Amino acid sequence: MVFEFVRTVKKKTFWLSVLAVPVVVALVFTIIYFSSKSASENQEKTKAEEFSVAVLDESGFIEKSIFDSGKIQQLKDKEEGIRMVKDGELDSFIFFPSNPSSETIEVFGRDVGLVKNSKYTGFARQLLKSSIIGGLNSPEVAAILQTEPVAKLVAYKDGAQAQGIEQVFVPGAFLVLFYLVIILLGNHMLTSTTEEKENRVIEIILTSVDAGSLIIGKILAMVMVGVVQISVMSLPVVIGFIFFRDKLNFPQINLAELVIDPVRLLDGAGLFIFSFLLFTGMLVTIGAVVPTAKEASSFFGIAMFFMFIPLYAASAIFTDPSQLIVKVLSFFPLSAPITLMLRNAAGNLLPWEIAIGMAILAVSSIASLFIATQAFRYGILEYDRKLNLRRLFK
Amino acid sequence: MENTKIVSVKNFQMRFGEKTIIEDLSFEVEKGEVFGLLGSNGSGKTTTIRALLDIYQPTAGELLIDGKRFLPEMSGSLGYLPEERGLYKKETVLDTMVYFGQLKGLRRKEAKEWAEKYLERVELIDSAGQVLGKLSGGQQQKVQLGVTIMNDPKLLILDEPTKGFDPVNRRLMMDIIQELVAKGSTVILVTHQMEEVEKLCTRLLLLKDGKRRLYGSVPEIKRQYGKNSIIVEYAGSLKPNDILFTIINNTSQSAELAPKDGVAVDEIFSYLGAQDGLKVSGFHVEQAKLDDIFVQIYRKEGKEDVYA
Repeated sequence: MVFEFVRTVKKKTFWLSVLAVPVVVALVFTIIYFSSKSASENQEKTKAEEFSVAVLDESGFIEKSIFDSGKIQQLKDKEEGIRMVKDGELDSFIFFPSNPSSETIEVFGRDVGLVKNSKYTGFARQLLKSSIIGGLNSPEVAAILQTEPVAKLVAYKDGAQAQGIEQVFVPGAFLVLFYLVIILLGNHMLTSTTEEKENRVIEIILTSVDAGSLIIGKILAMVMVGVVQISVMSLPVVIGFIFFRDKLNFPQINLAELVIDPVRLLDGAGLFIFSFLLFTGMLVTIGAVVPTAKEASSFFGIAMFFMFIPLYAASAIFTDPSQLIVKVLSFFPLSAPITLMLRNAAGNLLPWEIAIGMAILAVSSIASLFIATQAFRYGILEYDRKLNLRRLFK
Repeated sequence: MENTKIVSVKNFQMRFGEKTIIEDLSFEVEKGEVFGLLGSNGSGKTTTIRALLDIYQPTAGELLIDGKRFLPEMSGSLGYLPEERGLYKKETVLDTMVYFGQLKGLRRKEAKEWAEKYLERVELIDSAGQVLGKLSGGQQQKVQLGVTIMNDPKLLILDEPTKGFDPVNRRLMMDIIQELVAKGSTVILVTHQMEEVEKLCTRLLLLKDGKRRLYGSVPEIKRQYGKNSIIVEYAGSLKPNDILFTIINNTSQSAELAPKDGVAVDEIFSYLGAQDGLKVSGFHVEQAKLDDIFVQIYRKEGKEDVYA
């Protein structure tokens, strides 16, 4: 196990792939940080920039007093306004139609670039809105219209208060973890068996360690490799979350509000463990029955297709779990891991469904590990050809 | 009474699906001997070894090492060089040797010490920190051999040991085998090379289509199945004699004669001496060769080409 772990983490390609992710993430965060900084600076700068405006108001909503200051010119002819902008006598001209709720406000401006041009339309909308609000007698009504009203939802399920999005995070974390395991460890697990086959070392090893122990050692080594990978990869995200949360536009998550439902937590953990074992057994089997890593990767692709097919039915899984396709995906061993974990996160798994789903995954994972051990014992010694699977059971 | 058998195989049968690879095979290997396991490709030699080492589960029969079925815990006293062999090409020489030493139950320090001593002997100590893939084929073979004999095993199983080995490493291997035998190790040699068998083996087993065809000590087998030939150096004319011998090869100055059944060498010598126009300048008896015996066994069933 230790040798396998050390052998993997010593590889240059391992660190290249592991470090590539945090480096890219850090790079993206840096770009976001500086982009948002310069964007807000530009916004401020644009706001501060004054420009000459003329208005033709057919709606009658625009407050007349704003023309008195002389900063905004009032025109009587639309064509005249357009001409003045064209000739450079004006920076912008705004035409308010008689009914702005159904007709378009027309804005004409001197071109100052794709982004900065938006200041004209923004000004037009703001002018209309503040004129209307300014005309109201009630300061409360004005305040409501000016700000986004706060609304809080309390939902009930079976007479008890239901949890919101907060309850999705913890069971959903198992799905994310499973996804990371597949992406990060799949290739290592596949090549760790084919590599020994291609290097012709396995026969000597099998005289010192039995096939079952060897597989368990490999799995544990891969878990350790996975922990190293996930730690290194998540480091920039953790640093970013702790120190630069506001600058990097991280979603505002209050950890105290996370809902931890012990039943769903246990279900998620159980689903994850059995799914991981099923997945591992499958990879070891693929690695053991085919002669080269190249051939193994094409079979790996097919297996992954079955694993991720539930994502195509995600909408039905979340909104209508009673559909036949959702039931099939929930209980077919290869698609069950993702489907059941998605449904556990969404909270729409019935107790009997989790019981059957868990049982199917448990039996499948044990069967998968048994087949893997047999395939490893016999297939790993078939150096130049594919193992006939029928041979495993005779 | 002390058990003198290190390997004992009784009524071993191995089937893969409908195909029978080994049929009712029994043999024993004595402690301290060099035992040859011979046969053509596909005769079941490697399958027998794999079943003996519990890599394959036998369909029937009993395969014991030191009176017990082989367990990985017994690997400390086993040296196994499989036919299909290799090493971790991306690991260093020393790491690889230490890893295999640890698999055999040695502590890391012991394995390292053993490996360094061996690498010094085979003049590879300067390459200890190098990645195996960067060594020459011959150097890799030396490391492979070192991995096999780590911990001075009591039982050494070598499957086609000289396959792919250059003459230098072949000699090194032969020396090492003889050293280990002198120290009391037992060797099972699975090979096609009759020279190696003649030189090293005390007893042998010949498999053909999964069945035992020859089994016993080398002299016994030669006596039982081989025919000595007579080499005659002469001048003049050598005439055939259908009662006493057959001429196998004949050049102008020497001939190889095969005595007919029941004919003594003396009778042929007297006959040749009495011939007019024939002057015998040399006469000696050549022992039967294992190679010829095995070709004869395979030829009987039209499988000479397979064995060759």
